[in-house]
Amino acid sequence: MAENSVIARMARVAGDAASYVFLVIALISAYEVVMRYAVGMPTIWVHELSIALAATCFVIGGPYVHQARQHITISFVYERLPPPAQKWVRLLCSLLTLAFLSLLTYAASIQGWQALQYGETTGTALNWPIPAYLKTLFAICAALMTVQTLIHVYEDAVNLRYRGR
Amino acid sequence: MSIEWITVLMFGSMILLLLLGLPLAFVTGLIGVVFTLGLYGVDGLQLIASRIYSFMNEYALVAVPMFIMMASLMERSGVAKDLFDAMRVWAGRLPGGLAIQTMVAATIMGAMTGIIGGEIVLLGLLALPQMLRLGYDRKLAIGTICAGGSLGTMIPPSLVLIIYGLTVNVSIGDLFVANVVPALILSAVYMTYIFTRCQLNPRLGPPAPAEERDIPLGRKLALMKGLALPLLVIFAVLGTIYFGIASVTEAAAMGVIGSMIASAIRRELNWQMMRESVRRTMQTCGMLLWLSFGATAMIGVYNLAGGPTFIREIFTGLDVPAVVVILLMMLILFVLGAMMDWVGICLLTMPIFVPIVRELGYDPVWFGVVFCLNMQLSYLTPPFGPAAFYLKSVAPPDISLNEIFAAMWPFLILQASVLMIVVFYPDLALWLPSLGR
Repeated sequence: MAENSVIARMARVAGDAASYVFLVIALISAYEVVMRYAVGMPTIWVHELSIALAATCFVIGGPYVHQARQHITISFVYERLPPPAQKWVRLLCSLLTLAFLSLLTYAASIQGWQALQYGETTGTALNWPIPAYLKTLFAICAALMTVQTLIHVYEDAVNLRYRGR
Repeated sequence: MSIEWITVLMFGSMILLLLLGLPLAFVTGLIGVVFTLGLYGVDGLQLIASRIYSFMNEYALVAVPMFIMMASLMERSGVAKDLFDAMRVWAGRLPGGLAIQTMVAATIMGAMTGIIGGEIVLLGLLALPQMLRLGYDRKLAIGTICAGGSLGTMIPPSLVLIIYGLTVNVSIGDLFVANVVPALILSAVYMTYIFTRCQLNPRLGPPAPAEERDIPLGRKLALMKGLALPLLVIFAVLGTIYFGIASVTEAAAMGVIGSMIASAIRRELNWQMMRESVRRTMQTCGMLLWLSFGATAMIGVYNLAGGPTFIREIFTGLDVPAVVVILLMMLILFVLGAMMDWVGICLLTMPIFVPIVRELGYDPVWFGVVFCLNMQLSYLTPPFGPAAFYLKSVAPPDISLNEIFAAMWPFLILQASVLMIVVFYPDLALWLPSLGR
């Protein structure tokens, strides 16, 4: 089953681990407010770091949701189709998803490679290489979703041969 | 290819793919990349990647997971139950009293959560069994839960308003303030409706038996302690935004810390609760953000192809009063709302609609409020209205989806009326923010 593939497990482990980052964002943002008002010394790093941390989670959230096939779908029409038609529609949807994700991976990889090559930085006071890191992560996650979709396509194609659901 | 054909093909294929059952995030994303390839070739794809990258770098977007996490923490603590119990004992002999108190509790809870779903589930577990036990009319009870639970969208903090503010570049703080009066009107209208119906026919909402009502005043006041923690958290979040102490994102983070402190005071804070809350946040963010990525890709290529100018010419070419254009937009949003999630609708339509709204002389802050009302309406509308599905998941098995949708009609009509009132009297939304300036 696709849910037990190595790719799916990677997406789950990464997502579960990254989910604690939300707690970190809450803590550093509160720290910033306290430093600004109680101590009168606003930080220069919280703003940029919280954006980078949140974006990390957003990007990792894609494969996390995709491995369980939980992206929001309208199943109203699908559920009213006869079971054989459902199988074909399911395969078609996986193929369309594959088309989108592979093109996205292509674009994201070029973007990520360029940023990585030049070690692209934020260009602010801190000048951290956040763009290089995030663009690379985005490409990796898009690729992860593409491979996951390949497994879905295979699964849906195999499923065509069985009777019933 | 002419822009007319691009528009027809894009939105036609979008509806077709949506109905086919392709996830929304991939529908808009696929249309985005395919049209980019067709119109601008392989190099055009870079544009999509860079648009998505700049979208995820918006600081205000950090508020989204913070508010989701705050709501997840609140749902898992007993704060909501205490709040409901504190309100319940004051129902007394009032016709429909319990339903009205449920609405009050829902309004307060709405100020702690920015998304529906969790709130409906909570009310479905807490309030529905109580109302059914007292022999309430089933439809009235179900409608109260769904309508009250959806108030979370309208009452600040609201995720709809954060995404709207980001998309059209208006102050999210102003949007939050502007939403207060219309949200309270909506809540008051619901309560008046419940009261009137139960006054006319007391069998719809009978009071609790005398022995249950006979609670000493001291005990009633002691239960009011249940209000303290929620109000404190609400004040920590909304207070800091309204008084300009912190940004919306920082206020949201304070809300997370506040909810954790509230749970700790109740001795409920533990690792399991934290783990469940952050994972739930991860999942919701993964869905919302990838939906946004797809919509960003689609609207990006439509922009380049000259879509917004084309739509503006259609709207301004109509020889009708400005308000008719607004009503037409409301109709389009309502129809889309029956098929798509609000994030997708906001990112796809607002970059096109809001410049027209500005040109017509309306305030984009006001338009955010009516957009929000419209999206809340779509939560309740059959056949996809998510509110019904959330309630179904926790309701007693003999309550069918059809019964839930049937129960919503009066509340849908009330909400549509409030939407119309705010459309025709923009000052209802704009009065409160104007005080702060």
